Amino acid sequence: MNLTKFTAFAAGLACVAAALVSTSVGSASAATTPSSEGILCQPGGPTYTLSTATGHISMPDGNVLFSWGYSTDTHGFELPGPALCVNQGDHVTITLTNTLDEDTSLVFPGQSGVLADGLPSLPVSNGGKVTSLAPVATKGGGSVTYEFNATTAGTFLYESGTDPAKQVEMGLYGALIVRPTATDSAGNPRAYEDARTTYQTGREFLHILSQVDPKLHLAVEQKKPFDWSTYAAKYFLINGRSAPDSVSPNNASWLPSQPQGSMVHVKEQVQAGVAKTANGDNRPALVRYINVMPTDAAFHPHGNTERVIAEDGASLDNASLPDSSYGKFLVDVGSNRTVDALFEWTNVENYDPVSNPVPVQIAPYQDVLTSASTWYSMSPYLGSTGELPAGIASMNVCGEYYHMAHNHALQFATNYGASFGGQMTLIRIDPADSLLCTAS
Amino acid sequence: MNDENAVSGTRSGLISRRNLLRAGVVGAAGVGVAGVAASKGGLAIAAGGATYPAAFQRKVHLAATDGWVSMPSNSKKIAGFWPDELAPNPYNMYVFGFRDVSGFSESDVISQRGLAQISAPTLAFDQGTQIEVTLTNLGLSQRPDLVDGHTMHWHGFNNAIPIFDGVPEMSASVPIGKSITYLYRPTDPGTYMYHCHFEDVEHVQMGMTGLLFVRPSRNYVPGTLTQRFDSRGAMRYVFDDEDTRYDREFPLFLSENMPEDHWRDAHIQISDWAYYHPGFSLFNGRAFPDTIAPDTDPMADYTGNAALDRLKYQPKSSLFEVNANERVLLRVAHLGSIRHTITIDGIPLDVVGADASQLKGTDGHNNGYTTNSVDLGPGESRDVLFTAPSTPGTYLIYDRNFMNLSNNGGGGYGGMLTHLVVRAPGTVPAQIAV
Repeated sequence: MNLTKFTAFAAGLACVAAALVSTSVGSASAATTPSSEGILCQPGGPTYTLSTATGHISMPDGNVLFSWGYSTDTHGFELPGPALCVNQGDHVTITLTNTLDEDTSLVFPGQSGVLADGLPSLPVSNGGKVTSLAPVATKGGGSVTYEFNATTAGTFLYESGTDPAKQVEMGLYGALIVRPTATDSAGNPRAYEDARTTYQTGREFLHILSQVDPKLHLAVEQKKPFDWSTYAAKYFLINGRSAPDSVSPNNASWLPSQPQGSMVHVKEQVQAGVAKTANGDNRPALVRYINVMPTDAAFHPHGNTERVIAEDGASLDNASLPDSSYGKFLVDVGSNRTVDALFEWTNVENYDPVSNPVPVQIAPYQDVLTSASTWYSMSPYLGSTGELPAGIASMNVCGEYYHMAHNHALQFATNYGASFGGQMTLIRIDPADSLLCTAS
Repeated sequence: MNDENAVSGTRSGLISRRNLLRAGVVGAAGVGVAGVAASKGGLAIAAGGATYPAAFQRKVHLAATDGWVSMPSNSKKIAGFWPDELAPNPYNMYVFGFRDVSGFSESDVISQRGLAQISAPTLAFDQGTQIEVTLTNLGLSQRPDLVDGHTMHWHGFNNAIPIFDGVPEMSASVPIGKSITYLYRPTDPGTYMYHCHFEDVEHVQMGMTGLLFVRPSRNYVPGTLTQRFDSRGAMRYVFDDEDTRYDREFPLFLSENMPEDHWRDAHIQISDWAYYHPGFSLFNGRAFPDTIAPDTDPMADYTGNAALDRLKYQPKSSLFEVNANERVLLRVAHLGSIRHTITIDGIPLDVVGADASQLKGTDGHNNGYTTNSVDLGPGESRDVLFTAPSTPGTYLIYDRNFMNLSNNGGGGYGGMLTHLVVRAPGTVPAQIAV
């Protein structure tokens, strides 16, 4: 790549460095800021009020895009819509108010018995032509109340059912999470009822994958027609953010309309007989994937194979059936589908600078290239840091490891055609025994 | 502790491996799972084992550089972009790539600058061994203006350590003229892939991609890397499971390229990497009909043999010759950017693994399946077993997305198409190496 591009990239990372430092400082009192990472659930469930909203979203290359989204009684315009997290068995009520100058509605794929203003939520047609997949909140202030019983645990989505190709692309989508009532005896949560879906308390992450064609958004903003045959997405988002913004904390002040981060943050796993891992995680993390793009998402978590435990909110780990969960290093999330996967990382080699050194020569920093801003600790050892080259900004806090997680159709890992961006986030792995690290 | 159980515990991915660790198999030695795998049969690994015995070490030297390759010359032309007018005869497309320079002298390594190959060399490793891959960056002969680094990313390596994962922003990359040595102790058999992760969308598109696989310890006499044999022949398995035995294996590495991107890289132009419309779809770095040409060697002299000379830097044939009734393994890995659906006319395909994980639940339930269409997206792999028909003949292996059978959209048959040639029993010699 050329140097101009590289400089811009480094400048972008500098912002992230600041973000991460502030995360770590904030998390020194980690218990007080539990929502800086992980799934950010809308408070007040299972009764919600959503209003369509318009605003602007920031891209890491400096571009600012007009977008649609939702607002609530606790937050103005945000993209994506807030994550609605309810408990299995809840009666969920969502009142949608429409501020747009066209009709809109909500559909809840995977939910049955959905009512709209007390009547079954059915497609709407006019003169034999379907005009909406669900009863609408009419343009210019109309509202409609949807309700249903959340009978099945799982990862679902809600999205516009009116001109959805346009309205979902413009930002009218969000996560619907139904949590099971079952936990294990230690209180660890489960993704589904089966014990094999148990995950570590606090390690619940959401990745909503979407894309944006700036030309469409500009046309909508300017109320001009758009030729869909020219549609070409140029930004690819996780939870409404493009990398490297994706790793900024939840509610980052510099991303006021994109409050949902996506960095996966875990501790190394406990290993029997390895004392220094005693305070590590003893359950995997849960990553809930939702894809609202018109194409498949080939999502690749570096660091370890994930175990796919559910598709479309249907558990593959059902105790009454043979286990059909499967290991994947590439989590394939089909268009408008959801996948739940478990991630964990074990320091299997237990390399240690004194007692178990890495048996190959680690090239000195003078002999390798380091990014102008780096997540690398400059040490191969978990929990250790090495000397930082002059002029390099480090985003590493405590010798933790970072791995990348990204869409492996690499044209989706770009910001307007520039690499290292788009649908990409990080997996942070903390050592079990460090007081400096922030995983709670 | 039962060694046999310990090793089998590693086979089905992360959950069982964690259980293995919980079971205390690693114990106070702190060696890790790789040590357990290598200890099958009583091989001693010292506590805190810094290194493996020489017999269990494998060293590979790769070089990263640029070069020129040849897509089928009668393909539809793309005005202004393909064939590339800068390409030296007999080539027509600019690429980046890896070369295997293991055992080369330093001066011989340097002399490979500008002589990249696609696909990258197929790397075959063994469970329970210590692998050192040294990557040397030779620079880009056609683009002296660029100072790009390169890395090796073993895509799918479990419990990876960042400095050996090859993501520049998470660790380091190799500058021109330098080397990094990557260390791996694989615990999980199966089919993986590897690629450069520096400026990934560009370097992957330009050709720095290849297939990598790990054989299970089950293939070997316990405590050794000596192939086991029985009356059927070499005892080869995909996973540590008797049901995954095969007689013959072939790598089938999928990728595509967009000639306009390659032209722009050669001509110091900038590409919009978000726009992707492939022209050539490749099996093992070649488009049909080149897929059925024999293997070549980048170090060979093909003077007087124009047909092979133009494929010198696309060394891997996809002409798969087998004997009737043999059990055949296709190791399918995909580092292109769009989905493909691989089929073999008339032959049921048993998918036993995906992404180097055996298709088995944590309860041992077999989730493998039989199909006529193996569908996979970017970054995925499949382990596909089939029984060669009893009737000798030529069978077609191809992508059922027929758009990918056309070189540059020019119609006819090209792209992801190759031949499976079934011969009478005993005709094709036993397979020694892939």
